[in-house]
Amino acid sequence: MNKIDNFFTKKECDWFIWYHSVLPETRDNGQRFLTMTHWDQPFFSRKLKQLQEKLPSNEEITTVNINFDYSAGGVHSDGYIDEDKNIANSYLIPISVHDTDAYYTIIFEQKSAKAVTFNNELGLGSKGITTYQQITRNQYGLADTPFDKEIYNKYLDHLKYDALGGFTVDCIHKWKLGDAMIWPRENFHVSANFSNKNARASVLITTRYK
Amino acid sequence: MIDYVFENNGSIQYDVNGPKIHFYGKNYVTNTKDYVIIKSIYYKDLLLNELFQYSTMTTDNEDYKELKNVNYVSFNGTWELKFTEDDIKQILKKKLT
Repeated sequence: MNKIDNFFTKKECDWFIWYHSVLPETRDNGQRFLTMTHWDQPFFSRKLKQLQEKLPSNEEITTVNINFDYSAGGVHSDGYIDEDKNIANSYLIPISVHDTDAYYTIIFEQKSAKAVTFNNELGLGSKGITTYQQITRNQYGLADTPFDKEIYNKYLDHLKYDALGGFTVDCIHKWKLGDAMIWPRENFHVSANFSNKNARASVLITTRYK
Repeated sequence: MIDYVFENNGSIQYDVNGPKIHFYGKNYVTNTKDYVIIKSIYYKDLLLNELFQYSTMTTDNEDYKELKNVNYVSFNGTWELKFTEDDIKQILKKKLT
């Protein structure tokens, strides 16, 4: 697990907020307003080059989204929709944070190369689902080992405790404006609960190996 | 915030000042065929050549004093873009829907 300090400057963070404001469509998925950046369009080519240059040379971009979160999400992986053996990493870069609030993203050791989520079993229903497939604990084969109670109480009290059994935490990322939090796309992860529901926004970049 | 890609075919010089470009130095007697093409317009790093439709140019030629939608420049004069953020939204909407 990894991070890159100052992946975006404040000016670059503000650019994405501006860009979101001029795009014609944003989707409310029940947890966040999600804006597709249309990163593969010719008009975005200069920006894409700038983003690509920030990434390792053996990775190429597969998604760039802007998210304005108003609710903490459920456990999911950013794996493939259409099978891809070369999925690489997720880069989550905060572009807006509330001064007095702290935000965290929890990365688990468990993995799924396919994009799936446990949102239903975690008590979130279909909120936060755009293209990901819902799966159950049984389908995945999660153990019944109780989840770390301290971590649950501190970060994940928006989810059903029992549904987290079998998950083990690999890393807890703290959000910092402009810093990229990085994890392998196949690793399950989840947003910690947070207050100030209309204050935070981020850019998510996913990559594949060339 | 705004920048351009030019193709300069001759001796015309230009100074860029945001949405305004001052073209000068063309000698209409000795360099009749000189011209500049504004190939691309980037606004906040987005390639938006649709902005040409928001361009005007005032020239030193009596017959072509005021021009609109200009990307081919063969006169001395001042080229200018005037648009709003709403125009950017409309351009992107048209591109994406």
